[in-house]
Amino acid sequence: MNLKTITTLGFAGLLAMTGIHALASEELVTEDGKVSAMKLELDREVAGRAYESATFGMG
Amino acid sequence: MLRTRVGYCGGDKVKPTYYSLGDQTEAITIDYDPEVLSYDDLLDHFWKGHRCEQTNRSRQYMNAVFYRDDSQKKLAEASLVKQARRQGIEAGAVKTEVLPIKIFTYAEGYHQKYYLTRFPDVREFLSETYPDAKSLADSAVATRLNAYLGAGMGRDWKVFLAALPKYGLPNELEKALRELAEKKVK
Repeated sequence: MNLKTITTLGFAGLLAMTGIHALASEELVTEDGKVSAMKLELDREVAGRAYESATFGMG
Repeated sequence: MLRTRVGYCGGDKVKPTYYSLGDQTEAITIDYDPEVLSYDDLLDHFWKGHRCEQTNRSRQYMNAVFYRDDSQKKLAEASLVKQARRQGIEAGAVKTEVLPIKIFTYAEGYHQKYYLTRFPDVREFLSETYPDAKSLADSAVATRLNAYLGAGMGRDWKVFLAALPKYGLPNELEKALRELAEKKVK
């Protein structure tokens, strides 16, 4: 293999890895005060109830 | 308790992830019905569940109360003093922090309802129903199944059986869960 082929393959490999990483990484969201789970019966019922939130770091 | 979710909070790093937390801390949020449970009740459980005089291992794994407003801040600070008194130590010797939550970011889907990984059929159904981390975490059904099946917290299985038909699960899954719970009751 000549240098041009090696460089091209290396570059293509890097692009592929970047693409795979982008596909694998999950877009995380922040709290928005809305309940997203509404497909199951109990979830719909509970989503309608007033609530407060408490947050703890557990070591 | 209505729902739980795990995530990252307390720091300033924007868009934290498990592999890039920055100054954020892993935390659990509990949504609760204030007519059934109070913030003070939850604080009591929290203080009983860890040793507050132990130095925190790291920013990532830290014992902390993350308050959302002044009212929670006052109650959390008062509970810290009460806990110190209960243990016979100075409040200044308590290493558990009381900090503002800032922004809570939901952790990745595979961190939510972690105990259900031991129950692949349940996990698969819930992940198909709620494919993203937020909706899976927001599911009261997932929260309850995670607690009953995975956490081994000695739940009342009769209560579970009574509520199971309301979950809205597919017949086969509901039947399997009923059989499992009935064995626990016996």
